Amino acid sequence: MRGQKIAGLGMASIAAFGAIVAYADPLLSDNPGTFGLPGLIDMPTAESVPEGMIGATVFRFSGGLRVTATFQVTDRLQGAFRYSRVPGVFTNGSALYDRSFDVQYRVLDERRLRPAIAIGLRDFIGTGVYSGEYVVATKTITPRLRATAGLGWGRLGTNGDIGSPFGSRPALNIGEGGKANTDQWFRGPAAPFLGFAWDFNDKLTLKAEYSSDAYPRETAAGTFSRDSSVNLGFDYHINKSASVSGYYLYGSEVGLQFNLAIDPRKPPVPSGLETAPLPVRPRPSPVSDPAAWATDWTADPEVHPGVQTAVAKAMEKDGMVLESMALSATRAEVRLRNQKYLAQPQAIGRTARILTRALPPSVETLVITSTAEGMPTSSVTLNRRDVEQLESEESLALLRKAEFSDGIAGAHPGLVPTEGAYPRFVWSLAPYGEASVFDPDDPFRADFGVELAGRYEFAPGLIFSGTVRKKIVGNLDDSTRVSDSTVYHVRSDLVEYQKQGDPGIHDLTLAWYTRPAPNLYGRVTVGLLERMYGGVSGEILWKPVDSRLALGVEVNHVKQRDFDTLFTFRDYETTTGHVSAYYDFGKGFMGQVDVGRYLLGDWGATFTLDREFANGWKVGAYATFTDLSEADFGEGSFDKGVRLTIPVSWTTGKPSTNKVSTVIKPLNRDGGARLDVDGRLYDTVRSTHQGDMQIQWGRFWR
Amino acid sequence: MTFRLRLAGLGLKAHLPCILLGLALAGCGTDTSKTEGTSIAVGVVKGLAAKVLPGKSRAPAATPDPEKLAASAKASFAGPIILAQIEKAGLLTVLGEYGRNDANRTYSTPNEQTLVLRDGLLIATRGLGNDLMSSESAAAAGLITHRQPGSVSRVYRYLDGEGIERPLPMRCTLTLGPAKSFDFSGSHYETVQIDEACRSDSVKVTNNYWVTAGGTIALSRQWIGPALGHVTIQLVRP
Repeated sequence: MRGQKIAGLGMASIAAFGAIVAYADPLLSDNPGTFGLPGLIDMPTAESVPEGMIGATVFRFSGGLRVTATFQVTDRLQGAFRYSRVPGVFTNGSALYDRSFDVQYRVLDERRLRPAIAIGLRDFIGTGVYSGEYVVATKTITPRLRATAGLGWGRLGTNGDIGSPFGSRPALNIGEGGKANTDQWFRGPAAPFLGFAWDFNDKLTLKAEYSSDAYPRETAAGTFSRDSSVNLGFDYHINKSASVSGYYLYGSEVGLQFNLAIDPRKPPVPSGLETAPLPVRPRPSPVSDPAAWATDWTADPEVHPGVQTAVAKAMEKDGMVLESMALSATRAEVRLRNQKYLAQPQAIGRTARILTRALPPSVETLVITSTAEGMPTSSVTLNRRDVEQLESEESLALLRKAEFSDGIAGAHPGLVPTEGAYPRFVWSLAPYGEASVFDPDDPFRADFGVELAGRYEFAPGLIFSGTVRKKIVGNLDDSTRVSDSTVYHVRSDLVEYQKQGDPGIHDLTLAWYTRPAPNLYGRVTVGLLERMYGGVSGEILWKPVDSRLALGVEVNHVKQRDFDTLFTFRDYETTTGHVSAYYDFGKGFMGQVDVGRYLLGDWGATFTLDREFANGWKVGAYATFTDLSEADFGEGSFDKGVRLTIPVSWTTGKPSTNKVSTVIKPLNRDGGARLDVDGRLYDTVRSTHQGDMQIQWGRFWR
Repeated sequence: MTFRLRLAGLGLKAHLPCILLGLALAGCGTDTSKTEGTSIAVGVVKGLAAKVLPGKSRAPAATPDPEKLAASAKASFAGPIILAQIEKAGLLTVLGEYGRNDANRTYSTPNEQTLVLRDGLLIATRGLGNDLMSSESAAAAGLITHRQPGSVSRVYRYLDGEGIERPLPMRCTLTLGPAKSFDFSGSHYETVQIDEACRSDSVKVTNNYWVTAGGTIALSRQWIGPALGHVTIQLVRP
């Protein structure tokens, strides 16, 4: 958003007018250009947005449509993913629908006389319609006025070039597209561009630029007339997150743009709209009431069941399940299934509070073991005295005293299952929606219907579950698009499933989760694993409770399901599986590498990098490279995409473990396709391990 | 298996009206992880409808009489009681003590939102949203309950938008104000006003306390935090 420095210096601007104002901070801007990243109009600037910000822009003019999502990955690095429509560029007059990625890196910050400088690549792995590279400098002239000048190559070097400083640009070898056009970068004619942005007030910014983009393909197609190199525009902020921009472009066209900026760190509602936790109840002093501290209650067979029932009831009221409990004269252990709080420490904190109110005073050691899919994953051991004394202190004080350990390491004597905790049945009947985007015939199609889901847990870790869908209304079956994939269609027949699978059994599985040894987790799932495949899936994960690193092996033998999505199969059977490594780099960056055999039988690896926020937001990107040739893969050359996870609690302020996740894939093809089995171990156990819990520990006392 | 079927049957029966009537809009069932999304959507739609459709606007609620609130609370609850008004939220409510840990007393509203007071100073809130997680106010409490002017440090702690606890250190100056005597809920109080001006790099706030000779804070107006603003707390039954 608008830099604080600027607001603070507003008073000084009259005196400073004409002088150069000094800044050392990253040059921040909340005015995106037509390509989504901070910019003038078509031209880029060296500005950034605050780290972690997510942006979305929709820009429309007669020469095209650009829908762009942006993410400020680090303080200096920003990325963009775009879906665009360029009308009439093909010889038959049809429009080009294209997906493209941009990156920009701020090399230098503004300091005294020096401008901020950034390097950027536009459309660097698409089919290249917007491909261009640039070096750009932006300088604050007065607190309200910024000047930008730069040099562009590729598309940004098509108007008014000054020659080719780094040699000629080789012809674009589109091939199947989707590859980095490395041999073209910064080659060919380079052309200067420049512009100004002036903050009229806090809401309105006016912009002017001299564009180095000649729009060669659009003018050749005749959809657009470029009469001038000067563009004018404004950017008006409706509120903190939304703005509109309007442009007069190239002396002939009017453009309109809508912008949204989302800060994952700023939820739209206050967090913590929930019932307050129970207060800690301290024990009477052993001096004034020694009788209360006696341990003869251990001989009474009524005490343990009575305490367990009381604890289970209180936990249930707080959205948790007490799966089992052990109680001795000095130690209590509870196994906790958290169904309510996104941050596991909040569930543990509430359980600890309940225990201080229910346990006899002689019990000093509290072991709270978290479970995930019935597996005990981690234990947090607390001294009851610390819980009593630190209730109103900073949360770190108790974190320093808490001990984390594997949920099955060491002895766990005397655990008694809670009556009625198993077997357990839950079901739901809820609407669902499914959308298809990026289809050139009709870029947006959708189905809506109802989904019936059920889940029966025989015992901890043994789960039978299924989902049935019935469409009510929609037009996904209007699609006439047939997969042009030349290899076997392991994924690209999605449209057939959408057309014929109504009603359809989305999944129907029996899953078994187990802990074979300390640090190890196991899963076996059999049945209709996902919409397109059924079979058997097995997985082993190694993840010590305090480790940044986790390793996993997954092997699946699956058969492709018939398009009607019922119980029959097609004539395709394969073994697929991966060896995976997961690593927590710290500062919210998580990496994952999966190496193995994909559904088509192609061998390769998937690389994933996620930026995670402590509140559950996640923004990531992945790419899969396999031994399938680019020609066989088809359009896009290899599989890649971006993914986004938004916790429901962020949008409501109320506690919930639910998250909404989406993967945005430019193309759905057959190479590098993975099985989509539910309940993979790493994501199942991670939130109850030490790394995630430390980050979210601030919620322990809430 | 019979057990399972019976369970399922029970659930379905209880939810039958929901299935028949609300299918198009809301979800049904016992698995909240699957039905939450639709209940949120319904909430949003209802909220929008309330904004768009006129006529159903609520009549301005009459401000409840604090004396009456206090009296009815006293009649129904035997323990210590306070009356609190959160200014920004416009919430006026009685709170009964339901927990005591050392000198910290937790008071709860009927809706299970809590204020934690230590020596009459607010040190934490829960369930209000943007809560005050904890605070260090012992030095301030020492001066205030002895009706002494002076200068003290305080620390307030909140969760930021990511849920990470952040301290807000404040420097506070206490000054003595005028004496004030008043009656509330059957008790008579002779107090002296104490004003506390606190500032950090980003915030400047004031707290006011009306303190009896015995060190009891009979009435106060205290800052909760940047989002919640001030709360006025009146002692009903110590």
